[in-house]
Amino acid sequence: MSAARFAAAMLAFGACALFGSVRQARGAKAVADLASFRGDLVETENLMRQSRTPLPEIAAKLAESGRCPAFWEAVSRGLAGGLSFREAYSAAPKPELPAGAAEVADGLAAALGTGDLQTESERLTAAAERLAPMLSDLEKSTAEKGKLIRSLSLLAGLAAALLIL
Amino acid sequence: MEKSTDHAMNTVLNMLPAGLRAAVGSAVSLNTAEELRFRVSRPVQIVTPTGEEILRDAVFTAENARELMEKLCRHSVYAREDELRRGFLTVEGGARVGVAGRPVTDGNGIIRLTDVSCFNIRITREAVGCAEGVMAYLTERGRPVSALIAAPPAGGKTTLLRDVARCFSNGVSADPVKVCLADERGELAGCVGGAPSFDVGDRTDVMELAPKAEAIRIFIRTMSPDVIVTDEIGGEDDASALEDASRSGVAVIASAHASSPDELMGRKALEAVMKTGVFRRVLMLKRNGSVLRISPIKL
Repeated sequence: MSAARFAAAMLAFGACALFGSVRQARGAKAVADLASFRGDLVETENLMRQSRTPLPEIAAKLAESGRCPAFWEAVSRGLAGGLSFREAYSAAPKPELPAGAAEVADGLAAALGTGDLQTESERLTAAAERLAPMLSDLEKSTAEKGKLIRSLSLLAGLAAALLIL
Repeated sequence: MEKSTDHAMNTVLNMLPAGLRAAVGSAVSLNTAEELRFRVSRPVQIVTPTGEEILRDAVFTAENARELMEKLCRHSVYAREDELRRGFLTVEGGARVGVAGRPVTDGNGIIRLTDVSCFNIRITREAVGCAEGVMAYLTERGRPVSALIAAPPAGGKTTLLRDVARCFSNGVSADPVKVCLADERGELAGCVGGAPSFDVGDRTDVMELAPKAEAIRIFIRTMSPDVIVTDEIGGEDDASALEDASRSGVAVIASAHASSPDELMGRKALEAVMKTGVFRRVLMLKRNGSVLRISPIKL
C-alpha cells in the first residue's frame, strides 16, 4: 500500500466527514435563526405593550441588542429613511427561515404598526405561537437529520477510503 | 409679532406624500399658513390669518390619507392611540394635527379612531417676546399671580402662554421663578426626545401628554413649582387640581376657549373652573388678521 493511496483514502474520508459536519451546522443555524427571530418578535411585543415604544425605536434597540441585529439594523435604516415597516422589511436581508415561518413573517410585516395596541399585541403573539411548533419540529428534525447525515457521511467516507485502499 | 417656525413647517412638509409635498411646498400662501387642511377626495386648503388658498390641482386621496397617517404615527399607530382617541396628534416641532374619521365606541366613549380621512395640521408659531408687554398684569411685586388667558380657537393663546412661561422662567419682566409646564397636547414645548423645540425658559420643567389635572398634582407634590402653566383648562377635575395648586401657594397661568367675557363666564365647561375663584386676572385675546390685541378684563 503506497503512501499516496493512504493519503487519498484519508482525504476522501475527511471530505465526507466535513460534508456531514457542514450539513449539520447548516441545520443548527436554521434552528438558531428561527429561534432568534421568534425571540425578537416576543421582545417587540414586550416593548410595545410595556412602553408603547414606536417601531423605529424598537428596530434600533433590536439592532443593538436583538438576536437578529443585521436584519433589524436594515429595518431601522429603512424606517429612518421614511419607509413604512412593510417596505423596510421587504428591503432588509432576512434571517434564513423555513418556508412556513417566512410566510408567517411576511404576513406579520405587511400590517405591523398599523393597528392599535391590542391588535398589534395579538398579531405578534399569534405569529410567535405559530412559529413555536415550527421551531420545535425543526429542532427535532435537525437533530435527527443531523445524526443521520453525520453517520452516513462517516460511513460514506469509510467506504470511499476502503475502496481507494 | 409672530415669526414663522421653519422647522415645524419643514417637518410637516416632509411628512406629506410626495405628490402633495410639491404642490403644498410651492403654494403662494405657505409662508403665512396657519393650517393645512386635507380631506379625502377634496383639494388641499391652506388657511392664513387673512383668508385661504385652495389648491385645486392637489386633491387628497384615500391612499394619501393612509400614507400621511402612517408617517404622523411614525408607523406605530399603537404608540399614538391615546392621542388619536382624543382627536389629535402632536408631531416633532410641536405642530398639532387634528384628525377626524370613524370612531369605534363602547359604552364609555371612543375606544379608537379608524379610517381617518380629515387632517388639520396647525403650524406652530413661536413669538419670543410677545408676552413681555403683559407680564406686569401677570405679576405682583415681580411674583406670578394666577391668571386665565381667553381667546377663540386659533386666537394665539398657546403662543402667548409659551412666552409667558419663558418670561417667568428667565426672569424677563418678572422675578425668575420655577415654572412647570403641564403640556397635555405637546404643543406648548413641542418636546422631541425630552428637549423642548421652543424656548420655554431655563427654569421650566415639562410634563407632556399627561392629563393636565394629574400633571398639576404631580408637579405640586414633586417639583415645587412657583407657577404652573397649562393650556385649555376646563371641567371639574381641572378645577379641583387648580384649587390644590392654589391651596399650595402655586400660581397657575392657564388658557381657555372663549371669544368674549360673557362666553367665558357662561361656558358650561368653564363653570367649575371659574367658580374656584383661583384666577385673579383674565386676559382676553382678540385677533384681527395677524394683529393680536390683548386686553385685561375685570372679573
